[in-house]
Amino acid sequence: MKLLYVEDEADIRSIAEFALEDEGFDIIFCESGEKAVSCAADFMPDIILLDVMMPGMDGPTTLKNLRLIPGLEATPIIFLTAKVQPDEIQSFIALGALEVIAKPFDPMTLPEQIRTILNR
Amino acid sequence: MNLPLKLFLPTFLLFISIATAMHFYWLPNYIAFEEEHQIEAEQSFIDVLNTALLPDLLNNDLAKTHSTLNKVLADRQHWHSIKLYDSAERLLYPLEETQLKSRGRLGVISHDINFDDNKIARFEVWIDFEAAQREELAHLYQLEILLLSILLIAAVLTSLLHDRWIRQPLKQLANVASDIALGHYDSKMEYNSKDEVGRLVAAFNSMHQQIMQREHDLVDSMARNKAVIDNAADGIITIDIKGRIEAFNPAAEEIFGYSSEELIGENIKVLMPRSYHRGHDNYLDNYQATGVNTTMSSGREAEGLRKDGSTFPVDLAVSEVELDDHILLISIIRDITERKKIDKMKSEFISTVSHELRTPLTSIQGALSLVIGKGSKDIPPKLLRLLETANRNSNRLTFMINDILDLEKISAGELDLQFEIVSLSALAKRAIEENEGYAQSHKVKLKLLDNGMENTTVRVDQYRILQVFANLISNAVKFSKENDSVIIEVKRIDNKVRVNVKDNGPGIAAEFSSRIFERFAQADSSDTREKGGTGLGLSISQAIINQLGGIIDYKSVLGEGSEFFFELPCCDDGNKTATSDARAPSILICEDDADLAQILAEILYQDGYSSVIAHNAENARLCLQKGPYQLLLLDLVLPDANGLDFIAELRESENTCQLPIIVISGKADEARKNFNGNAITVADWLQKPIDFERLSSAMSNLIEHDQRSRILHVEDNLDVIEVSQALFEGEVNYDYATTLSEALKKLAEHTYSLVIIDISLPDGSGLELLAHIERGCPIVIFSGQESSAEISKKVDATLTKSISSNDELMATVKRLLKQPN
Repeated sequence: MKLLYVEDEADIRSIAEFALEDEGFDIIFCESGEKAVSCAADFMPDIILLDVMMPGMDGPTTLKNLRLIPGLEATPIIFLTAKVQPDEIQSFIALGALEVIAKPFDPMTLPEQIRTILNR
Repeated sequence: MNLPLKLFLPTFLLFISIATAMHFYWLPNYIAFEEEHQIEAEQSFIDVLNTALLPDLLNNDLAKTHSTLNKVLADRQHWHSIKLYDSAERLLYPLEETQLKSRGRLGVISHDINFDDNKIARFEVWIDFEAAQREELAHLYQLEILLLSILLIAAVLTSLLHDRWIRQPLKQLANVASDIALGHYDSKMEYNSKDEVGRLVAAFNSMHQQIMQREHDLVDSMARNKAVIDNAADGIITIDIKGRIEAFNPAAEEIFGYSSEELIGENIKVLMPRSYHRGHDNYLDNYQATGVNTTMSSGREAEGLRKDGSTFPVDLAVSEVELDDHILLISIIRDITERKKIDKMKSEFISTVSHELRTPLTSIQGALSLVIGKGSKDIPPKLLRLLETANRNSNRLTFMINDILDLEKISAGELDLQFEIVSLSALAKRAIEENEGYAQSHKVKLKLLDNGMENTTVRVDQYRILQVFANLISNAVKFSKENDSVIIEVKRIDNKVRVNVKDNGPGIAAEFSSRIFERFAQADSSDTREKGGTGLGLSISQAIINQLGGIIDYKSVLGEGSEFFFELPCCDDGNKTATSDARAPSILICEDDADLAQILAEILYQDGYSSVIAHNAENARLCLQKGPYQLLLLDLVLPDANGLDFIAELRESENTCQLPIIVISGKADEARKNFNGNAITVADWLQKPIDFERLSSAMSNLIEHDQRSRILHVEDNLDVIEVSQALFEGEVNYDYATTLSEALKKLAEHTYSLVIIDISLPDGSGLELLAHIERGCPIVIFSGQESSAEISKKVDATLTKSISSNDELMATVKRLLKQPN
């Protein structure tokens, strides 16, 4: 399963890398929204994990841009964010995100969490 | 008749009466009495005359008789004449019968002269009384004149005294009174006397004093109030029940940019953005009709509109003053632009900080969790314990950040509460499921006692109540011993629902009770390490419950356990649902399934109806008694009644015999067959699951009056208006304007569901109206000219007069009115 992970914070990227390795994911990590948009067209991920607050292109904008890429119109996108007030979650879902995972996430259960969300 | 005349008249009448009595009664009586007296006096003289005449008559000495009589006549001047007759009634004296000349009042005395009992002669004496009494009468008349004169003088004097003692002070008092009535309070009257007039003047003066004092106090207090109002930092606006502005203080002038002269008498709506107009109209209409005030509150946020057209956030508090003849509404308005800005900065800051804190925390926690999870086999136990400590504390930091963020939001009143009507007992069940894992990890059992409260609902934000449950349950679990139970009880107390969360833990020391709901409060700092937690849970719970209109508290016995409880007002006794604005008409939903009832209420709300939920027949009865409803949505299966019996019962009652009823039921079709009713009894039967479109159409068939859309047609050609009026008759409320200015006025005064515009108008272009039409209100251009593409983009439909038929216009209008805005 091809997974695109977009996160500006290098430490969190490496934690995620540890968490998701050996779990059967083929992962590309991108440190910005712009980078994600540019490499998503070639990579054609099956699932995208997206940080919300990033310098430059933020998560919601990245989502909109990714959706414009042919083939990614309906790819599941999960936000990973510290913004988890009910109204904030509502607004992310309204943007077309499949789910919102709260930060700080538990890396031990992250792979399971992703699989559960996808299997719903 | 003026007062002098009134005062003089009685005296004058008395005078006249006395004069009349004197002259016409007493005087004639007196004269008659005098006459009698005279006659008696004459009688004695006649006796003497009798004796004198007797010898001469016996001697037949007629000459001597004549000379005696002549002498007597000459002597007694008031004797007019004497006639002497012999026994045969022959005249002896005078020699010839003389005609008696009437000279005034004459009296006659006839006297017989007898001798030895034989009548020998008779004489008559004619007496002139007037002559006899002349002198006396003259005296008498003089006396009468004198008396009358005295009387007249007395009358005049009385009148003069009346005038001086009564009329003049009264006149003066009247002048002073009218001066005071005109507001000249310095006018005063001096009159020192202890009589009635004096007392009147004294009382009047004291009243005057009091009025002056009150006037003074009033002016004083008005000046004070005015100073307070004028110097208040908040805008204070007084309006009447129709929304007209009566007073506008300087702060309001500053806030809105108008001077008070510009606004006095204007409708308050000029100070609100258009989106508030409809709500405001509804509110005032509703208030006038029912006296129920839906806006009055200690404070709420709204938007204001400045003279320059800019809008700004305001805090609005409305209160009511009931005067003798009318009601005033006083709005206190505070411009909260600055506060909003600061609030926004603060919440952005907190949001940023917490995000910034969470980012490194994500790495720390993630790294620790991975090390512990994946590499625990390779780590020496001592090191593992240290790592676990670090991990536990980073978790705690996360909770704390979440809690701080929550608390900030709640205490800033920014909590976006999603109100729903839910069963508290169902929420308790969910909370127990969600916290079961945590309880199990502490080997504690969670038990629910819901006392059959499934149908008791509250209006709350589910997520927030679950948060409260989680806080209370986790606290209780934390302080319970292994294999103990935490009991969650839901029960009803009057019109409130109470939730108790009870543990058998160590209890709470009394000295801690005052701080228990404070932030970061934990009973014992050593507990912190053992029990975990942020110390914010109860503080957050309290803030949430307070915002939901409830109370939270606890009871505890040291060593035996504690019981935390919160109470919320329940809303199954006919409280209005989500909407508090004055939508009409009102519909009663009688449905025992709280969720379905809530969904129905939401749908009705979206369709523009307000609704009230009753969860059983008893509540429905109460609601129907309280107020008229336009429609009843009735579930056939109710906890306390059979729906069909309930319908029959409603039909018996005078109030509800005409009430349209729509039945909603899982067995609607079956029931319909068995129910021998006609259309009046039940308007429609809807099978569950409900087809909401069918519900909407059934409703709009039943409730159509006053729900019709109101449209404005701006058109200068009266013929077109006449045709359109006929076209739309019965379909919509049709209103028209023939000039641009009239249209602008109407748009400001009313809210329309749709506007039709002709572009060329006598005083300008109809397109100028576009900026003044409320957003969401469909606009149709219906004009002689074909519209350009640019115009078409700005409006919902364009039709050209000569090309489009009436039917097309009608269809367009109907289509646009059906669209949700």
